[in-house]
Amino acid sequence: MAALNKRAPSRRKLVLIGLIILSVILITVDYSSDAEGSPLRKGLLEVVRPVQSAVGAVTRPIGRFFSGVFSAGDLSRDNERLQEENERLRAERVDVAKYERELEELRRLTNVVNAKSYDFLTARVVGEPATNFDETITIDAGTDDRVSDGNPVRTGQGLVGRVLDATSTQSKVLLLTDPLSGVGVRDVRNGITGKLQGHGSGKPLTLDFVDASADVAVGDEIATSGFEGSRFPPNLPIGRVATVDLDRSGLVKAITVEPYADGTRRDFVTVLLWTPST
Amino acid sequence: MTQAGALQRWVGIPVALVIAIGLQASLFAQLPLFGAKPEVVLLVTVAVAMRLGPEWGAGVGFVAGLLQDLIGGLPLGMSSMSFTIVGYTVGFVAPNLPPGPFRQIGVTFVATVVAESIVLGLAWLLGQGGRGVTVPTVLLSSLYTAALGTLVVPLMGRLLTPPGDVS
Repeated sequence: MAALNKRAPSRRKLVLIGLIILSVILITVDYSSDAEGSPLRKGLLEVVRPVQSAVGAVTRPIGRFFSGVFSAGDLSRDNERLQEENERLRAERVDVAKYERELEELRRLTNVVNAKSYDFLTARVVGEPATNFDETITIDAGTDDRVSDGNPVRTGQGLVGRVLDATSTQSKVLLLTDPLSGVGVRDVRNGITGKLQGHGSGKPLTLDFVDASADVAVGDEIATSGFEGSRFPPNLPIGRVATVDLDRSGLVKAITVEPYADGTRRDFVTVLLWTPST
Repeated sequence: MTQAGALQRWVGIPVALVIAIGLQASLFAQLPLFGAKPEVVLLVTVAVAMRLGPEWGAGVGFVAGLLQDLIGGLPLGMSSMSFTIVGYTVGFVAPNLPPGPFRQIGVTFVATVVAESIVLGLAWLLGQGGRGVTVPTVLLSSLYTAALGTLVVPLMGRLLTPPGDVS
C-alpha cells in the first residue's frame, strides 16, 4: 500500500512533465510554420470549427445584444461622426470624378499600364478575438470560396490584415495589430518606406526602420509598398501617421500610425483573391 | 467511482469544454470588461482540478489550452502549457486550503493571474512582446473570471459528481 502511495506522486509528475514536453513540441512545430499556417493547426481546425460555429450561432446574438446595450453612447457618437464624414465625402466625390478623368487622360498619354484590379469576395465576420492575447478574427469564407492563406483582407476604409488559416468553410484573419504581423509600407506623400508593426490590442501600430532625417509628418497617408516578394499588393490604404518622434537611439524615427479600419468592429470584410508571388 | 460516475465525467467534461469554447469565442469575445476578457475555458480546467485532482487538472488543462490556442491566434501549445501547469497546481493545492466561501473565488483569481502570466512569459520568449496585454488587463480579466467562476465552478462540480457517488 505504501509502495502504491509512493508511485502515485511519481505518476502525477510524469503526466505533468509529459504534457509540458508535448506543449513545447507543439509550440516549436506550430511557431516555425506560423507565417504560412501549419498543417497541424489546419487539420484540427477543420474538426473544431463546425462545433464552434454551432455554439456561436446561439450565443453570438446574445453577445451582440449586450455589447450594443453597453456601447450605446459610442454608437451615437460614431453615428454623428459618420454623418459628418458622409457630407465631406459627397463634396469630395465631385472632385474625384474630375481627377479620375484627368488621370486616365495622362495614362493614355504616357502609356502607363493601369493599376491591377483584383478579384475579391465579401465575407461575414463570424468570430472576434476570443481572448486577451488574440488578434485574429474569423470569417465565413474558406478554400471552398477560393480563399487561400496570405490573401489580403480589407474594409472600405483600408487594410485589416491577411488570411492566416483558411479551412474549407472559414478562415482566420491575422489583424495588423498582431505582433506577428509586419507589413512593408510607404508614405504616400514622398515614397519613404518602412515596416508597419503590430504590438497587440490597444497598442498603436508603429512604422519602423525610418531614418531620423526622413521627411515623415503627422497626417501623412500610409499604404502598402507592394515590393517584390511582399505579402500585400501595392497601394492598399492603411492609415495616417499619428505621431512622429525621434527614437531613443537618435538614429531612426519613432512613428505611430492610426489605422483607417478596425477589423474587430466590422460585420463584413473584403478578401482580395491575391497571393504573394513566391 | 461508479461506472455511471465515470461515464458522466468522460461525457460531461468534453461537453463542458465545447460549450466553454463556444462561449469564449462568441458571447464573451463581445463582452469585455474595460478591454479585458474572461478565461471561460480555464474555468473548466479549474473546476475539474478542484474536484478531481492534479492528474485530471493537468490532462483537461492541456486539452482546454489546445482548444483555446486553436480558436485564438496564439501558437499551438502556449495555452496548453499554461493550463496544464495551472490545472496540476490547482488540483494539488486546492484540497489543502481551508474551506470557505472565498476559497473558490481566490483559487480562480490566482489561477487566472498565473495562467495569463505564463502565456505572457512565453510570448516574451518567442519575441512577441506583451501582445498588448498589461498588468491591469490581467487583473481585470482574473476578477471577471473569478466572478463567472462563482456560477460555473459549482455547476461543473455537480456535473462531475453524480448523486450517491462519493469518490
